[in-house]
Amino acid sequence: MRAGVATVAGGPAAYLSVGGGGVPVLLLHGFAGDRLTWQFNLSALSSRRRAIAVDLPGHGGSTPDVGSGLVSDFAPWLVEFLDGLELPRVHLVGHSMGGYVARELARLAPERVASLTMLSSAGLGTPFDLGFLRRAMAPADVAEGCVCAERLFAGPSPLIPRFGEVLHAQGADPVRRAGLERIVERSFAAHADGGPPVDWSAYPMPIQVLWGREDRIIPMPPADRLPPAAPYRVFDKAGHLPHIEAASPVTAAIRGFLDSCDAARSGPSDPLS
Amino acid sequence: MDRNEFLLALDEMLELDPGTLSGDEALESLEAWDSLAVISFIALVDEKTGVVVEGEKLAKAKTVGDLLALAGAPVAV
Repeated sequence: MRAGVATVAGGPAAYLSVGGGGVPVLLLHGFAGDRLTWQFNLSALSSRRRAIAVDLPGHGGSTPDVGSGLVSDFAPWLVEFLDGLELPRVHLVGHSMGGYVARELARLAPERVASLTMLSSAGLGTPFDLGFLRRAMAPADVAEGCVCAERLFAGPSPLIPRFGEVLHAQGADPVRRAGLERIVERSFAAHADGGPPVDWSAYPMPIQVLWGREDRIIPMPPADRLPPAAPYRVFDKAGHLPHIEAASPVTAAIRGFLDSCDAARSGPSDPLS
Repeated sequence: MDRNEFLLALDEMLELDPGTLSGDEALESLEAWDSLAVISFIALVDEKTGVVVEGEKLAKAKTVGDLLALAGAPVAV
């Protein structure tokens, strides 16, 4: 495993990288999260390829500058990040806000995106809990942070106290908090009750959608909001964090999808397939 | 990989002196046991045994002995 910081014109990008080779997979965390949200998935995804988790602007160890606060503006920053790491083409996996960012990156640079996995994703034009975002970015104390953390999970979890501490510490940092507030107001506030549907014809790559059945932050979307014919897998007993709550089956679903996309691209006549 | 080898590998991973860990230690007492260590632990077990540790179970681990059990190493001496 390697922890690094890539020099990107829009501001430094902190990342973790595990494994090597293959078509790499780039993992994008959700709002108020960071690259460590993938702690249970990163190594397991690296068995056949390099797996990279990056902190988005305003999060973790990356630049605190969120620019306009528009999630779509993170996409060109990520293109620079891919250039910096000399990654011509990657599989994208995005959770929640990271799914929204992944979709924007796929639209901006479809030739760079081998596949798109949207996990409990924002940016599908479906309603979400805006009040939760506002509470989670600035809990008054650790106890309120824990209440926010509880809402992310479908049931009790030993991880909730730690999540609560992290949310509170983050909210106590004025720079971090200002960045999160800008993202919420510019990217999310106007669409809490639903936004325009996505024109999926602009996305030529294979797409899959994964969701927790008991998600209280972004409830499961109706089928008409999803990409036509895309695999749509729902995980029982999982809330808004299926990659943590149902880490093994979610990781297996991602691995299987990425492997199938690679096999389909190399074709049946490829002697290495 | 036997129990002692796994403990030594964990010592190295957590940047502890060889022989530090015995298996009884509470994970919350180990400063170096954090999310990065979780990633390294899953990679270590995969590399040594070919087993992918289930994150759901790892989240519930409380002691170094629990880690050994997840790694498939004998828990008892």
